[in-house]
Amino acid sequence: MSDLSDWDLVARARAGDTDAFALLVRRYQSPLIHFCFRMAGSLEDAQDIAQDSFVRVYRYIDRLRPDAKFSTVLFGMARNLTLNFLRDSKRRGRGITMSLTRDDESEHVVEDSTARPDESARIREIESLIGAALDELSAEHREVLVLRELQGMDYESIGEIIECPSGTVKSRIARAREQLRIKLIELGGEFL
Amino acid sequence: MNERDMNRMHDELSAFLDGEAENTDAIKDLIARDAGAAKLYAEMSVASAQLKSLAAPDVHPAFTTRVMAQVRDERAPKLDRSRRWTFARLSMAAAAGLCIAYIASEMFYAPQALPTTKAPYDGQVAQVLELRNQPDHALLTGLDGAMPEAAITGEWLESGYALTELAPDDALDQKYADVVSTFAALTSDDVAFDDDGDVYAAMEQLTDDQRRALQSLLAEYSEGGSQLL
Repeated sequence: MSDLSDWDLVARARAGDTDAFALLVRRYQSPLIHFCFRMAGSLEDAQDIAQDSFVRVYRYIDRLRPDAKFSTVLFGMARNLTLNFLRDSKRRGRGITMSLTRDDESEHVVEDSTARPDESARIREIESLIGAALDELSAEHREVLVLRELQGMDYESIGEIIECPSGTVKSRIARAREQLRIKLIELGGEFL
Repeated sequence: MNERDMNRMHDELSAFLDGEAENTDAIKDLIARDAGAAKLYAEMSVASAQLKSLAAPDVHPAFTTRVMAQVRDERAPKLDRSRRWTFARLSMAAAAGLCIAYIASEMFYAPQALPTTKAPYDGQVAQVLELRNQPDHALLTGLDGAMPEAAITGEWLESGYALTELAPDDALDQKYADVVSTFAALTSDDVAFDDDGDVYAAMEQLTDDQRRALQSLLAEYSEGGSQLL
């Protein structure tokens, strides 16, 4: 069943095959949680939002139409829930505060076994800096950069997720990159 | 270079980096001859590469299990919710049907009493009430056979019009649908009780038996409806 397309799995899930939907969950859980994590700033919140996204997609599975990629439907749902979460957090005064040194429990950094210890430390430092700069961007800029750079999506798919034309996506990514560049310099990104 | 031109250059360099630029030769030429553009592009490239290197967080081993547990929970409540709303709306429709029947009898047969040997309502309402007297699932089964699932759970609840698709009945006209909608609106929390005096007055005209029957239906399935009677 793992070789079935997303929409084939959706069709099976619609017919009551929950294993098919479980396969969809496994297929997308990692990228979806990564997206939510970069947007929400906490792994716990990210997993809650991702879980809610899958459940809502399942709830409306009878209405899904294969006009777009399944991934854009799923990420569109997660994006809306994330923005709601950020709005609610702001309203509650909780805010999304990111520290330069992110809690290691919430981010797994893949060690380069070939790197020397000082190189590994340097890689971690750069990743921490990039992550911090990303966290400081507005949600509008962060979402397009995350979808483009971390999910590798093309402009058209991103446009479907954020409900904007490709031209808007193009200029928004450029603005986001510029903001990121400025933040990196402010944070001491001399490696640039 | 003004700000607009600068933004345009950023847009093009960024799109070129993503492989989405339209005129790649012009951008290559720009990078080759403009040191500022070349520096900007180089910085964009480095930041892009660094972003791509950000590791994904570990997914909790039980994540799929948790999602699927909630999905399975979702299946039953989905039916219950659909049934609850369906019953509520159908009860309202039945109540509205009684109103119409009463009004029609007043208009065309008054002062004659409603015939006692025959139900004072027929067609759609009779069908609903007949199904209502059967086991719970009969009404849903009847609906499932007559309407697509999307219609049951979707927009039809807003208007009551789709109820007319249950079993086409010429006697079930626009007025009926309007009253169904109005009655549904009256039971909503944010609508004033006396927004529609005609419907309320019609409800006041019901016989005790009719009122009790409706009260039973509405109290069971719609809190708002029970306040009306």
